[in-house]
Amino acid sequence: MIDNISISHFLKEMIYLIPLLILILSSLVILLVDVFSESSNKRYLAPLTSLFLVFALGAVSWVYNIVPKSGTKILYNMVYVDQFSLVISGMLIVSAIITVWLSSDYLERYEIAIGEFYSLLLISLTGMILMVSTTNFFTMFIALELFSIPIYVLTGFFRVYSRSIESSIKYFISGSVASAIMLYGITLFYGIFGTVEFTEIERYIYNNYNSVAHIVKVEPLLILGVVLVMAGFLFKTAIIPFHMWTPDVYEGAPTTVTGFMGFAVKTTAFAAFFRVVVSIFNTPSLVYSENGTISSSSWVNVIYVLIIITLVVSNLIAMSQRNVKRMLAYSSISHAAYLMIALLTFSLSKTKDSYASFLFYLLTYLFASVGAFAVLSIFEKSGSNAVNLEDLNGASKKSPFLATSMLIFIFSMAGIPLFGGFFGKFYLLKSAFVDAGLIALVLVAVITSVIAIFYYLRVLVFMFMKEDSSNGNSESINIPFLGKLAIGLSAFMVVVLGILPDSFIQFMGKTISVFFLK
Amino acid sequence: MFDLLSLVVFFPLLGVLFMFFIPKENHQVLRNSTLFITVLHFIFTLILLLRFQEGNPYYQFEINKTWIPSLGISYHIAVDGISIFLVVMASFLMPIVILSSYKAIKSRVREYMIFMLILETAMIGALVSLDFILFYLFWEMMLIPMYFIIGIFGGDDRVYATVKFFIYTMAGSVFMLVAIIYLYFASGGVSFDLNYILANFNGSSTTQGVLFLAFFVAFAIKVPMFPFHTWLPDAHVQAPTGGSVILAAVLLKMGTYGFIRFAIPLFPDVAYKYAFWIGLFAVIGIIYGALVAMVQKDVKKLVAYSSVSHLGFVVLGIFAFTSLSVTGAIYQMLNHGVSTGLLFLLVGILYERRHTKQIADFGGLSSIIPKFALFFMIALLSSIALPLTNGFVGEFLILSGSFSSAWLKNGQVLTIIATSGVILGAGYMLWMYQRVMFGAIKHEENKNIKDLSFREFTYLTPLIVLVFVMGIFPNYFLNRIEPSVNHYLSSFYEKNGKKLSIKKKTEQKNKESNLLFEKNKESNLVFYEKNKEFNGVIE
Repeated sequence: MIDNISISHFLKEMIYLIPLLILILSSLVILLVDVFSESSNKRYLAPLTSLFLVFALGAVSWVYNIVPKSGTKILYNMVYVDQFSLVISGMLIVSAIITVWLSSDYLERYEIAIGEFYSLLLISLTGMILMVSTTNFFTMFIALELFSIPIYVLTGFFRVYSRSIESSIKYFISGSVASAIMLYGITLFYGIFGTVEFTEIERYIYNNYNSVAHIVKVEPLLILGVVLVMAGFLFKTAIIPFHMWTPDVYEGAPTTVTGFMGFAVKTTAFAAFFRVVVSIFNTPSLVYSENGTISSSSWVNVIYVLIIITLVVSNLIAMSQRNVKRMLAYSSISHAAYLMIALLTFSLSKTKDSYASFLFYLLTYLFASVGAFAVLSIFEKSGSNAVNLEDLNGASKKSPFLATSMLIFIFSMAGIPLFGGFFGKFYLLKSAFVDAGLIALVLVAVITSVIAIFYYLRVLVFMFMKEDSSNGNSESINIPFLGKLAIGLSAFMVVVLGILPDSFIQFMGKTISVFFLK
Repeated sequence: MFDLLSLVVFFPLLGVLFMFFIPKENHQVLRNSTLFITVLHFIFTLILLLRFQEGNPYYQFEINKTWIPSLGISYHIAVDGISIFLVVMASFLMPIVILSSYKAIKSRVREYMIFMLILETAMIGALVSLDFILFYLFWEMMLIPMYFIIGIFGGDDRVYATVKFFIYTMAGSVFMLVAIIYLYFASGGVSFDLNYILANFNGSSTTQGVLFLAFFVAFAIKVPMFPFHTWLPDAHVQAPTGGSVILAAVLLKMGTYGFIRFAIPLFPDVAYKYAFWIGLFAVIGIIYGALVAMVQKDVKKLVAYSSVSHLGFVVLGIFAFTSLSVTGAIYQMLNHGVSTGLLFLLVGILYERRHTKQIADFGGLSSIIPKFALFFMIALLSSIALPLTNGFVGEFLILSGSFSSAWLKNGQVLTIIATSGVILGAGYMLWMYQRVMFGAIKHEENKNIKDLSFREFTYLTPLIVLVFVMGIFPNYFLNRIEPSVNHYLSSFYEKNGKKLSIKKKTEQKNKESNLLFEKNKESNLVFYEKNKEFNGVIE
């Protein structure tokens, strides 16, 4: 390898890192512009940031076209770019663009409009993209911290509200503990195998052990390592019982940040976990017992049980929430369970359908979730960043646009046909059913989706069927242009995904790389 | 996309786009333009009906295009004798419903009209879909506008009623979705097309039983069959008049239509095996619905429970598997739409004037509003299936068909009990009519009630005419329905081929009953003579 080093080689590798470089540089530019600009008016920061993000998105799609089908390992195997990582990066950038559009007005309303916000968002986004483009635990951990720490700060951005600060500290402490746990798992892997590279760890496991029972007997620490790494990821993906931080953080954080976090953090963690599962956890000796059946002590069963618990508990708790942000937090937990089903299906069946259904579900969830929080961020009454169901009273009269958009997002999340969420769920469950035969899981998902409809509908009940009785003034709500654009675009995409999903599904299926198929 | 059937399905949605250009304060323009859109739509549907080939048992106007090939979903629509009149009825009732809500809906008019138009597309789409997922999409799409129509424009308990309605229906249909996915899986995982799955699906009897149950529950909730009926009275009582009419006349028929189109052709063995039990629940529904209707204090609730009773007949007819009874069941679906639609409209008119639906608040109205009383009488007679009205033809076909059915165990017993439901039906309806229309005027307010206005007269008359047209000239309808029914039944008989002897026996009986059917007019007259005394009592 070393003799290959030359400037041209280095530059060739750098091509694949252009999106990351754009994001890093733009975060610094934003910071500098903010510091050196004289005027106190920071309105131009949001368009500027979104311009950078659009550049990054363009770079991602450019790299997508030149990246080899098998992906490419660069910087001494520290970074691995393939079409999967680029698709995820694209979705993350889109969610960031929508967030930036919404935040400009939102931050001004709360008088916390400062450039650091955008800068932190960009740094966090850089970390996320790095995290999904690696097959190396070392890079992955750095990326994890790189995106987490700015998110902790963004969560506490409401310096004047105790809830925001509380949620930030809570998130920081619990997040750090989770990171530490994951790091401990990684060190165990390193201690056993002397490497942090996914593929090499996989090869060692494949060559040295033949069943779960064998590993338990010979190298019990490996099992501990698997458990700890998994726990770290389950925390980030907020699977019950590692979900405790979610509702508080979602509630306390500025609403636009919640929208970003709800999609981006989860997506990043899932994508990284997907890679870990496909390469390490899915090694036959970690799944099967000697006679070829799935071992009872395999991680597969743990995930299976946790999915069921998550589906049931999150939906039941969501029913009793009065605060819409908390309710959506629990609903996001149940969506995580769906994504986990896709992940499990893929690891059991390795079909293209289950892979594509995972990405397609993320895509539908992106627009529905970010869109729903966007609507809430506008409805939020200044003075507190809590949105109770009663605050939505008579919304359809105050702003038909917002109410109709919310209707689209809510129905999509509930999985009602004509909206993207339906095909997301349908494709995912169909794949789980047909490819992996997870019939029981599908049934639980379907039953809990009926429970979910109850609390989703309640939002619409308040928006469409109740009158605003608080002060009688049904003044229309002012929606800033960028906010309108963000919400309109999200709603449009949800409907398009619900009516013409075919090309998206086929596109997602095409992005599967050798990494997943080996 | 520019074929006639697609136009009929999607024209109301085009209307929705048009509605967005009308300012929302301009209520009268909104109402008139919706009326115009729905009338135009009805004209398209009439062209469809006129072009429909009589005597052709197969699908007509068939369109089959790929839609989502990666999921095996296609845009496959067509009509046949089973669905054509339901489509026409949905389109026919819509202008009437719009016209009836000119005064009832005073605020948020645009939303109401948009929901109605979306509902129309969804209903017709569900009736013509031949792809499982397409059907499921339209089936769920019906829920959304209905949810808002009840929830926004309904009575005091509207939120409770509408959430119950939504969750009840949803709970049934998600299991249907799982069953659909299973069917897809078991037929090779290629396509969700109905014909493809029908041709390729093979399952053990246990699997078939479970899948049938999933479909059955979804449809039985929609019908609604006893014991899944509890959402219906709530929804009807809370819904605005227009919502009630559409709910009763078209939405409920989706359940019975689903039996004929999907559940029975897919699982003929299971359907045959459990026909008696389903028939039994249908009969329980008939009697239970009638008895509960009898004790209602609220007119609208009474009509709602009468629906439970009437749809019991339809289900009984479907599960008797004879040409006569199934044709009768489909005809009765139309009749129920007309008669119950009329009743709900009339109750709505009363409510608009007096703001109450309690039977006790009325009395002696016939002398104050004679035109109304006459229309009410005709609607009521149609509902209790008096000869010369449409209800008679349907119920007679169902009862004679299921009495002579060789496919329904203990069909005779079930039919006899069901027939007593007819008498009960006459009982509660006439008793209600007597308490509302006759007797002394107990309440001063009632003296100032106004009779039918010109607008009300306009939208009630087509239905009244239809009551008699369908009662006296049923052959126009039956000639178009029957070939498709025979085609559907022949494949049912074939799949149950082991029981050929029964098949022959049934054919024999069918022939006999067809003869009986030819003599229909004569027996009509005989019945009419016999019922004259009965009529005398009323008048």
